[in-house]
Amino acid sequence: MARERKTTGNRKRLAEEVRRPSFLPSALSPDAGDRPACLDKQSVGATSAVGATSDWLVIGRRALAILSVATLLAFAYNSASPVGIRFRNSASSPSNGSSMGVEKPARPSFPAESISSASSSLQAPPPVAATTNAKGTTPDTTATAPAKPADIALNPKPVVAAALGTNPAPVTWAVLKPRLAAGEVLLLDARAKAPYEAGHIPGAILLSIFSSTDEFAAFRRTYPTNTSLAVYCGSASCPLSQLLAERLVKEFGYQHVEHMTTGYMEWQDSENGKPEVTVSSVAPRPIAADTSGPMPLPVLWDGARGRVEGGELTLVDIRTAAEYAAGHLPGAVSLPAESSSAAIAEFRRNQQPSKPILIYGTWTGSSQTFDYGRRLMKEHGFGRVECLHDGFVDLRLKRTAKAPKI
Amino acid sequence: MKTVIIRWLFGVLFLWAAISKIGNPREFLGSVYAYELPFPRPILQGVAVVLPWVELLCGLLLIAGFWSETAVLGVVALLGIFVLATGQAWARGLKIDCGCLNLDFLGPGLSSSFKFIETTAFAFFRNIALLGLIAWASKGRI
Repeated sequence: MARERKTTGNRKRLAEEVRRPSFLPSALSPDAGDRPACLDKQSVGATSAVGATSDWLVIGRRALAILSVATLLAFAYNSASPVGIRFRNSASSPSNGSSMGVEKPARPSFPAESISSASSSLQAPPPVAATTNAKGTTPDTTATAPAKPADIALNPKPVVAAALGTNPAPVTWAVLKPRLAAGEVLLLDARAKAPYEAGHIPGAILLSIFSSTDEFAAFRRTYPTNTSLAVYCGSASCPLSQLLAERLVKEFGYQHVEHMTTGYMEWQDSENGKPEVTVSSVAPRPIAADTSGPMPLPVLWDGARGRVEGGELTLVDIRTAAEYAAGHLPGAVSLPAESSSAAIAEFRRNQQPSKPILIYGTWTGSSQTFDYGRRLMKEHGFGRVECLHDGFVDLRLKRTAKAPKI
Repeated sequence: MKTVIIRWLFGVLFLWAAISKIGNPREFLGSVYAYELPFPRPILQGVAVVLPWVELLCGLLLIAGFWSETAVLGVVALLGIFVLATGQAWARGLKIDCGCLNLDFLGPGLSSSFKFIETTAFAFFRNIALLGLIAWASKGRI
């Protein structure tokens, strides 16, 4: 058996000697199976450091060859594929990859109570011609004219999502694009105001969980509940669109709500597109005391800072005790996410019942922070929990005047 | 014989992984984004485009038994990257699918009961086990 295998191996190698193109150096000849390449050209006794080095050289060269072939094939396939990734010039990107655009210098402005449009009804998005494109050119791939909301309100069409029985239903941009072009669906941007104004999917209007009750009411008046809606936010890790979608379904009874799960990032990757830059008609309001259901309210540091400093919120660090000891936001108390129920109950007894708590974790946009906040409300009876979208790591790196001193 | 079986095991596994991802680069890019890695977008996009093809070539080479040391090296590098990525996601408590293997061919019922295969914790330990298997199989060589 062993001899048989050996002879087969020898024959194979012999065949390869013949097949090997003459322009290949002998070191690059394909070796059959698992034999180290050095054995092909050196006597067994002379396996030295030189042999080992050239061996690795050969492997390295082959690895490079595999990588180049893979890269070539990959990019060729990607550019041909209808679902390929479209690379953009990231320098001109309006959103720097943060899930809600909060790292942008422009803070989401929550004009304190000065909402002129809060009472006015929600206006339709400006017609396409009036909006300015980022570069003033007609976007090639996004030439789909966004539907006028009036048309949507008049011709609501049932969507597939409803047939499947899930509401809100996940959806991808590829599915949404033609329906948007046909005016069958109204697109909602669930992010904060600043990233929306910096760039959004053409035709999308701003409505987020930061919007006021009045704005929601106005929206409800303008669009009947059989309007097809699709909601997006920054990226897959952003909770805002899911929250908005659930609220539109549960609280306002919209029957066809879809949730574009990968959000603005997917649109950017798909369309190589110029976003529509516009000044929104719906102004967001400061975080109002209208938590509905046992959901923590995601907030941004810039928006919450004033209330933290004014002592209206108890700042709670949910990282481990060791991480807390190594540095934390000023005034924060520690309640690690892995705390026992007894420890949490103890914490709650010492907590003023009327005072909301604001929890923060290590990472920006982490679902862990949000889930913990939800648990605090649901299982431990905290009346009002807000969770900081910004993570400790990013807050520490912030170099603005508004940044907390740590 | 032992090495042939292991080579084929890894070859098939990587082919499966590659084919799961190649079909829809955008979907895979979504999985990559979900790891919340601190790299610039263009790099993540490049990874999403190229990585499945490296997996494909390594898998094919392993099955063919051609340039297999290089392919094994590639597999070790890929597994190393996967261990780091899934490990950090697991440690941070990210509730994401690892985006490693596509189970759709099992049908909706069966694939949901095998859903645990797609969790980052499982992927983390699986990748470590696979690395261990390579270390054991290639003892004394490479």
